Amino acid sequence: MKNLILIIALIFAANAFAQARTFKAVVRTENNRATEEMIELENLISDTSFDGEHFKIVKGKSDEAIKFDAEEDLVFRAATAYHHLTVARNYFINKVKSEYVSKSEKMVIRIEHTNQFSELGHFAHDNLDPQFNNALTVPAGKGLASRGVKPWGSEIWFRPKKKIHISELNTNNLANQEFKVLMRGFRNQIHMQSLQRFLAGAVGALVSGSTRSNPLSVDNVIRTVGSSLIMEFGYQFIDPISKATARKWYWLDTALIPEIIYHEYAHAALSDHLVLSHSTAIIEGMADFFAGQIAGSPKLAKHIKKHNTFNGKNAKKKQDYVVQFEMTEYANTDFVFGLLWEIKNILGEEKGEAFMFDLRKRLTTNSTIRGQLIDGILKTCDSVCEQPFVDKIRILKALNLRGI
Amino acid sequence: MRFILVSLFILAFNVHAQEEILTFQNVREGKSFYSKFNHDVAVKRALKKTTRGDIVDVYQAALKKQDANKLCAYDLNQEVLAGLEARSIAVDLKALIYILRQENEIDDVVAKILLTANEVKTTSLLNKNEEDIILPLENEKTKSQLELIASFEKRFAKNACLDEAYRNFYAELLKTDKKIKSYQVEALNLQALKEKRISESLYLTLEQARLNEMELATLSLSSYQQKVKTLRTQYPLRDIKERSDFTSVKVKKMKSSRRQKLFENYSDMQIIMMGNVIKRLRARLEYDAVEISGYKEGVLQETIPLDPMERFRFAIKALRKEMSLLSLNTFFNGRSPDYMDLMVASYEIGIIPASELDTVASLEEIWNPKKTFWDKAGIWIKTFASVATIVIPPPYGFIPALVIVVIEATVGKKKDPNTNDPSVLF
Repeated sequence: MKNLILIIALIFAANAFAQARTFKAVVRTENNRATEEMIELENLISDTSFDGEHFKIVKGKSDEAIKFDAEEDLVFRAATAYHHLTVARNYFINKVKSEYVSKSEKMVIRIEHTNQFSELGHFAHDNLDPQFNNALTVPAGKGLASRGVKPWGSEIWFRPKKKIHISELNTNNLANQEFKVLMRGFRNQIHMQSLQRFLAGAVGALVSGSTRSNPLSVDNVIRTVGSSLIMEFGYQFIDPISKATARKWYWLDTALIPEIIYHEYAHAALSDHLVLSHSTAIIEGMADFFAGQIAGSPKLAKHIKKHNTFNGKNAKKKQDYVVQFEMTEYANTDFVFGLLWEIKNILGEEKGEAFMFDLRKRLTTNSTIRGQLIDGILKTCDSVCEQPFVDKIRILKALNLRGI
Repeated sequence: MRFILVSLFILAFNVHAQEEILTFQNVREGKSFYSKFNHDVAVKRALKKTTRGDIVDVYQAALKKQDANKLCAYDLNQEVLAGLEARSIAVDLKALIYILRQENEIDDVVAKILLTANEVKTTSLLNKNEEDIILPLENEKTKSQLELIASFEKRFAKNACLDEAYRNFYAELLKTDKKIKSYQVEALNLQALKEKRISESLYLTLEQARLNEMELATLSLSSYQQKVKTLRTQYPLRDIKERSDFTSVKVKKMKSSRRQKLFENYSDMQIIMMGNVIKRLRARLEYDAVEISGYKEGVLQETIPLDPMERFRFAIKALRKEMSLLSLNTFFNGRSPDYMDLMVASYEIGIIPASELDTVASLEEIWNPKKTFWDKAGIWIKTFASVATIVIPPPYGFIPALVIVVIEATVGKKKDPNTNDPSVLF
């Protein structure tokens, strides 16, 4: 009886303590533009720091929650991360009814954290290649008592931003690729045209015997070769010109980007089946899908083309494209994301969401796109779709068009 | 005792058979094929003179008088007209048929048969000048042809419906001259009339049949009834309320709906065979696993499992193969049914429900993708632009070159995405 009273008193105290505080955070407008707004943070259990019922925001390797009176930039990032993590958690509990999320333990969220992850020691050594401009979700670990490493729960780490010059990035000149392909075709056509004109002139001169239209005359040669030279000159200078006009510095402040926060939380929410041992196209694609759903904006998906053009592959030209690009080590995340989004559109918003959440049960971290993912999609449809046979055919047709 | 029992059973069976109600009620079609045409004026005019209920009554009374074993669209039309006259209802038969279809008393196939019969009977002769008709030469062939025409009533039309009688008559006529033309038949009919071998009313009937090319008609009311009866006996309808608009879609370059085409072109046996191809496709699309097994001297050497997309493409390829095998089948006499025929056949015998028809039919896009206007136009523009690169003088020569590049970049070369892909079996 005593214990019961104590527990009730504790719950009362915790509830009274769980209070709302207002902070400046990044949010998206209706047009999906980033803006700063004063946001009320839910379920805080501390009145001095970012320590809530479900999330504790810490800096780097620290175990202490970031204080409300810490430096402004840090508070800004902590508030943004806390707010969007709460949004993501509410989505998984209220929208897709995830029991796993509702029962999950409080998560530690590290911002401005540069250490790499170590499965044994939690944090890799400080000198070991510090990380910037990204984020990751780490699985829980048992710790290493002999080395004083305490056990830890599932955590999300946001790296600090760092400006990187374009010359250090291996972009493969992506922005320029499409234009360059078009220009290459135009250049080839102009060269071919010059050759045809020259040959047609030569044949004409031979047949008519006229010296006035001599194809080897200086005037004709300059005209024919000149156009080819101008074209070639323009083509060869595409790269330096575009480099000179392109953006020079790149960085990513992951703790301030709602979609990245949703993506990382989705990893944790889906980890009941998609274990966080390593990153695969399917795991990332699933997390992207739910990030898009939480964001409530199709912007992410709209930017995903039917096939991506990374790593030199060009799926727009079928003759240059092979399906191996979508298999295991060649596979890219955005392909899976685009595929899942398309399936959601086929099934409808409501059904599609439930479908994808159910799909995770049939996947593992090591699933392949063409094997278990497609098989999982078809089996999920058997249990979720209203008209399984019809919906499966629509899905299979869409997948076939994607060249899987 | 047993003998009495058997006799009683046979008697009861006969009584039951006699009670079989003759009906052509629509049980498969959704929206009527004829609803796309504007018949509102004729229907409204008819309904000003009578009610839908009266029209249905007249039709049903006429249908009851028909002999189920000797069904004839011409007789049925005649009986309906007599019924209308008896009730002093002056209604156009065409409008009556449309109303019967609207009331689902008949389906589109029966509507077409009745409309055709009405059209034949109401066709007026062109009243050509006799001098414009070249009469046949007097020889043995003409003599036998005229004798054939003279025997039409006794030999062909005695116990048969006009459509069947004329088809049989024409088949005999072809035996005398394989290449006989319509104008030659016209001359023969006239010659037979002039020689008083046939009456004026028979001459009119034969000419109406000739003008309407009745020799080409393949479906009569009795043959349709027979086909449907066989199909329903072998494949009883699971859902009698099921209707589909898919069957009413007009077939390109034909004056028929998909279902009309099916019954006009295929026998009941062919329809069942076509439906079974789709039955197998449906089963294959639902397979959980497909494996390729290799044996040597009866011992399993290897098994290659197909991945889900390979299973899907295997089902499509197996369908394509079975479709081509179907056209080689002796039952089909070289006729190649298209995929839509197969779809309608499978719906007719209840293999594919109405709700799945459109989706399963859309599979055709995989091996027969639709070409857009720009796909077609792109080929022509590219051809002209290639010539123009030489013809157009500088400095405008770059324009056709640019056009070619833009077309190549925008109009994709669509082909099977897995062609030349060594990583997939199907």
